[in-house]
Amino acid sequence: MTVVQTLLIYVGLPALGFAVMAVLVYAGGNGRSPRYRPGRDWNHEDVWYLPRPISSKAPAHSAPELTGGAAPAEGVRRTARGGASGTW
Amino acid sequence: MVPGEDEDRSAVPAGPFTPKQLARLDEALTLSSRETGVQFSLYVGALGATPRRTAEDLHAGLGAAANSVLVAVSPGERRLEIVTGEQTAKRLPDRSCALAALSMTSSLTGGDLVGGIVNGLRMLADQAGKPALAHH
Repeated sequence: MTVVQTLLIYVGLPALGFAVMAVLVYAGGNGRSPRYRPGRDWNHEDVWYLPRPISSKAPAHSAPELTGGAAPAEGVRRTARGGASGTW
Repeated sequence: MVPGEDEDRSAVPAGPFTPKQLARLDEALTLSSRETGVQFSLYVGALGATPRRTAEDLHAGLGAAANSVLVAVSPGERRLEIVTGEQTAKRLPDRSCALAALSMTSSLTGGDLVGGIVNGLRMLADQAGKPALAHH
């Protein structure tokens, strides 16, 4: 084989494979918002996630009533009976 | 923002989760709720200076609070709260909630927000068991 052929096969092909891998690793994945790391600020809005209704009576797009905002007026009935907390 | 609703896919809101992650959360919430008959709700956002109180207020705002379990996660403040209602507290005693909270904080420390939440919901659902076996 000529020198050029040798170089192309034994150097070019691995380099090409390397480049393909690099592209897949660094260009793939979610680039829109950075991955969450503890200690970073959380600047997103507060969001609720609710399950789709269990009973067949409820229409598909209904959600349980939620009082607006996170601070209802004083005197709201206390519904909490237990649970747990955690920090990290 | 309710993932189960029909969303305009071209205008995915700039929320904290990708559509794939939203699908995972939606599936975990719905499956857990369906298996146990308990309404699991998830809140991701600020909890303020009194996180326990805020979480309990949020729980009080739910439609079926007595049969609900609220999982509130504040990534900015690194705090999570699990709140159970009157009926769910019998099926999920505080030690079960504490176990789930511990598992969640382990994942959350590593930055796995969605994984931590999904595993926590699964643990809570396992601990709650099926409706027929609940102790009344």
